[in-house]
Amino acid sequence: MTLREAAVALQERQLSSADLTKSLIDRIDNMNLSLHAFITVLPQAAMDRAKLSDLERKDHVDRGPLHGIPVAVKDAFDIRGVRTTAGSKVIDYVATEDAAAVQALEAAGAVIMGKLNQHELSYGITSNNPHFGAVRNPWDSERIPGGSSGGSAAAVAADLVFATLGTDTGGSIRIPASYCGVVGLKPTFGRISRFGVLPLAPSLDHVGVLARNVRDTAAVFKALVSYDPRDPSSSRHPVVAYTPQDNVTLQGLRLGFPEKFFFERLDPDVDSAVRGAIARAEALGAEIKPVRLPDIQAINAIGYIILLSEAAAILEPHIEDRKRLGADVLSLLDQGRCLPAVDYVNAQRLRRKLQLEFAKVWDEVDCLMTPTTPNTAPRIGDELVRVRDGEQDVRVVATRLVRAFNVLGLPALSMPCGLSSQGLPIGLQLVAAPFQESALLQLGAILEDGGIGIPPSFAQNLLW
Amino acid sequence: MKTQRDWAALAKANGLTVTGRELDRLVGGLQAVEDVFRPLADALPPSQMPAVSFRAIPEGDE
Repeated sequence: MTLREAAVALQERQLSSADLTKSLIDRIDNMNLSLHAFITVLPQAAMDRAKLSDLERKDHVDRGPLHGIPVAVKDAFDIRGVRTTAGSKVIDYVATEDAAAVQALEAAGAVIMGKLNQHELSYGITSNNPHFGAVRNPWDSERIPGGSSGGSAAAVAADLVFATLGTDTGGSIRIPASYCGVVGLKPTFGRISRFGVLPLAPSLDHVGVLARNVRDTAAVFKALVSYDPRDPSSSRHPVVAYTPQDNVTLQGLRLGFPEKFFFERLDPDVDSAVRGAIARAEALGAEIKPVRLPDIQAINAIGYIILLSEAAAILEPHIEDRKRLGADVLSLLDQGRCLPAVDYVNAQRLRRKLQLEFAKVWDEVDCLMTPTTPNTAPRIGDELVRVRDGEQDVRVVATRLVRAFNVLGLPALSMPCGLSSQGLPIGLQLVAAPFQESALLQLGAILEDGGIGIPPSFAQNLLW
Repeated sequence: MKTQRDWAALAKANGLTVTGRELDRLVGGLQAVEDVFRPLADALPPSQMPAVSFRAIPEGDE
């Protein structure tokens, strides 16, 4: 059942939120011991909220499509009265206030089921968490779900909740969306407030949504968008209609096909699936335009320097607590400590220069279509992965096609576009100009309606 | 590449007490971006402003 189907069933009183919530609490109880998707489950609070939601409906109060819908948030988000760890042992406090995005979900009537496991401190892409257990990929329990929002993607893929919130600093929503076969939206920088979310790198951090399909993603995203003076980067850009329309074609849409860099060194199954999705978009009426982008490798290098520097500054109070930090996180923090301030400032100067160069791309095309990740989900514990002819660091491979859009602050959506020969999900990435989320969601919905995705019969054969 | 960094020396100067293997990993990570980043940084014109900037009014003047 999708979020929108559940919303209709709730609205028409075919189903109560209390019954729906109880069934998912039981499912989480059964599966979380092996999946490790949740750090904290909130059964009592969720049931209380669900019952209240049912009472509101009896009183003819309708809060919209999320009213009574079970969702969950990454453990980096604060929920008042609930423990926040961000998947670490060095952060551990009970929040006194809700994160802005949590407030928005509650105002929309959503039922928050708990807080999700993640890569330690959001600083990595495997979600192989040394403190709360390795999050397992529902498609293959020996594989990573991706990260850092790994629990957020696994929980949606395993049907534990209808949608989740995650954060994305260098691909941390889109990578797990790609590896777990779900939809992940990283909006424009500043579009969703980060108030009450543990930062990693403040000039790269984004809050976003994961759900089972594009229209469900749009329904959650719509509830989260508003200006928030508590987040200094929050935008006042006008809020528009984000719900994709039915029966719209791609006629007149210019889709950019950046073959250089984005289609180099791909797993052959990924290459084939994404080219197939592009061909399908053309058949649906889009104009496919080859496009040459500014140097993505340079943008990635700039992003890495900014990430290392900002994360080392943010996490400096914990850096001497070495025995309680995972080895991979520690190594990244040490790298950040070695970077001179001069390099950080120059990276931010290059960022502005390349941002201006990249803006010209939108004169030529409306959206870009690329793979999200060059590969499918690697095995848990693998530090190197083979893609085409060589082995590379698993982190470098996973972030290669996504990091640049954090540096540029552009909205990007990952959606499933098929399965590999091993039966693992493949991700398609759509990218648009700043604040063009409505175009991205509309494009994604048309592609889904046009058959791009994972056939439901396969999705129902998950291990859990 | 006139400003190429010696990452191992910088690690020592920053007081990092890490094993040889950890130092190799640390230097490897930084060196991987050095070759791309350094020539670009060296070529920046003085007039190029950074992407993060100070505002006289801290909030609400977007």
